[in-house]
Amino acid sequence: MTASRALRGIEGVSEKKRKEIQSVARKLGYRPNSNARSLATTQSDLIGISIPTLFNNVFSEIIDGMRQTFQQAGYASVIDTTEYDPKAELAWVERMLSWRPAGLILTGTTHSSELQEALKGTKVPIIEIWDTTNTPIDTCVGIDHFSAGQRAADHALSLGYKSPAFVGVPEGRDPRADARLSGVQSRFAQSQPSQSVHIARIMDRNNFVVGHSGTLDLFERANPDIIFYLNDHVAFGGMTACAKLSKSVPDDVGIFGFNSLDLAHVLEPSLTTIRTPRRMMGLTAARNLLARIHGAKTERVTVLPVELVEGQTTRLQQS
Amino acid sequence: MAQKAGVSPMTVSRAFKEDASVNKETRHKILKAADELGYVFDSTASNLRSQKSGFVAVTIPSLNNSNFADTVTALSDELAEQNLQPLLGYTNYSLEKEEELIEQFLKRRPEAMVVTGHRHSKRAHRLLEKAKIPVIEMWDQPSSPTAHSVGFSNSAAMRDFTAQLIKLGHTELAFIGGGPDSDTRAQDRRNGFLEAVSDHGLDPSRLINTSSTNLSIRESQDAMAELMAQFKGAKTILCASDLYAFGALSFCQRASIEVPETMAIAGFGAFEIAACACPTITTVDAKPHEIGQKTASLISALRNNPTSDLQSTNTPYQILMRETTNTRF
Repeated sequence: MTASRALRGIEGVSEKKRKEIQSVARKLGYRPNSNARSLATTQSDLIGISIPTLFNNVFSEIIDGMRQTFQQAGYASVIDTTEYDPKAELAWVERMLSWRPAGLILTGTTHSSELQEALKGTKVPIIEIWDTTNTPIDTCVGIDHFSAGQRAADHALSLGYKSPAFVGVPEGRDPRADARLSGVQSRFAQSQPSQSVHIARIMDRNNFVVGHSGTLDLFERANPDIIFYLNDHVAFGGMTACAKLSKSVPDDVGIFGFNSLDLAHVLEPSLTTIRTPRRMMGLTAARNLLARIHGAKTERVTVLPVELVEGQTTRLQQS
Repeated sequence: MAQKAGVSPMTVSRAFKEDASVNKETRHKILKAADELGYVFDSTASNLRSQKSGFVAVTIPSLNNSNFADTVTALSDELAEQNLQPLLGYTNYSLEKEEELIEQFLKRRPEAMVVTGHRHSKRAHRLLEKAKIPVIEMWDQPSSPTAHSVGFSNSAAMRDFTAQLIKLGHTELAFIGGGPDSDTRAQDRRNGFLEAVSDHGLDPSRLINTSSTNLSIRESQDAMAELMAQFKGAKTILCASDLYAFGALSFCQRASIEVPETMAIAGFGAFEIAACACPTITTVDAKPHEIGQKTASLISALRNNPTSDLQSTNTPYQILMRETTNTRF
């Protein structure tokens, strides 16, 4: 029984004992047949993780946060990239369900109705990450993107910025970014109802290109004093465009990123941004999912806090 | 199995598909028969006759790397044309983790298995050898291949790159990355660097090992600081990846060291950041998209001809001389 628990990675077996048993199993050439087990319990040792893209460090950091927890518990994970395509997400979920996974992790809380239909009635624990909603498919762990946008706007307003702009991708492609923009808009609308947020949207998989082209496009038709970018990489592209236009940051224009990635700290000037708890999110999601797989209840909705990072790309405005 | 369960083959097939027309009792009987016969239940059971699972298993070392992202995107697009779906496992540069993933995937009978690089654990090698499906190693061109391969020799590419820099007048060279604990492609690049340096009778001692395999920009700034302290004569820094090169560049900018006048820097991989950095970073484009496309074509060919001899497909690379090495000598 202990051997079985050890090989399945259930808690209650000491790490030392688990290693011993695993090493004996290895020597004997024993391979737990996950398929046989899935016949018995409709559970396997496989966890499916769906993320929108590999072109974004955010998702890899979230998965990094999960990896160790899953590994220690003896679960393997397979990853799918949807490229923000709901059909691809659906096809993947259908394949995963046919494999009777122990659990599924989906990115975001916006899914097609077909997907919601496909998941209805399955008993597989599911966690939606990165975003939060009051009505998750099963459970969710993420941040509140609308409030994150408000948080950024509040900071800009407190510094005295008056003419905001946003650079991102076409509406609907990244629903989380849309929510953050709404947050920014809501705050500026309260404080100065006559001034709307100028928006530039560029379709390109390369974040730097989105930021660079979007910023050039923006300055052709507006003269913002603060630009909120979809994320830090897009902001970096924006900074190169400002340099090209001979606009000094932060003297001529303020720049606001999102995520606080590695890049934000090595840049000169350092980026004002919002730090998202990516590893913590991965860790929390992994722990919750394991708990749910083993039949324990967890919070249905977990909202993690974000943090303002004051860099050198914004400054107090002269009034 | 149908005989043992006393039902028609059609019913067996439907039972595995969880078709609602099979009642609970019958399904239970069939599953029990399957269990006794040692029949491995997997999703291919939905197509018992043809044994097609419709997916291709792919393992990559890192999710945090736009080169692999490019390869995987191209591979996915091309596989979609063949009605195949890729499933990704990521190894975080751990051979043990890779072995686990390979095992997990093989149990589910992929149509083909794509792994990154030539080095695997012994057991993973065995599993791959015994797998009765096409196995392709990408991003490498080993001298003694044991599987089909699609890629280029990282050491030959770096040797070529270094030789071209030497030709331009860069003779006081140093290298960051590719230490013994790092991933094999980075090690290969370092070996290529060393070959070129010794070919030309230059100083091969300026090497900075980095501890991490997935070196972040921040860590590479530290590596650059270490290099500056240890090797005062170094004038041109080659890095195992553009991310290190970007870290080295930002270190120089903070320390007011002029690039490329006082210090030249080169990376590898043609990451987006190398083109966006100011000055732009000299690098090697490994054409990751092409690796993905050619891997997909090879899968298609091997599915039509499963008994084919080992195939090795060379992919090109392109040296991009940019501003960070544009030093006047």
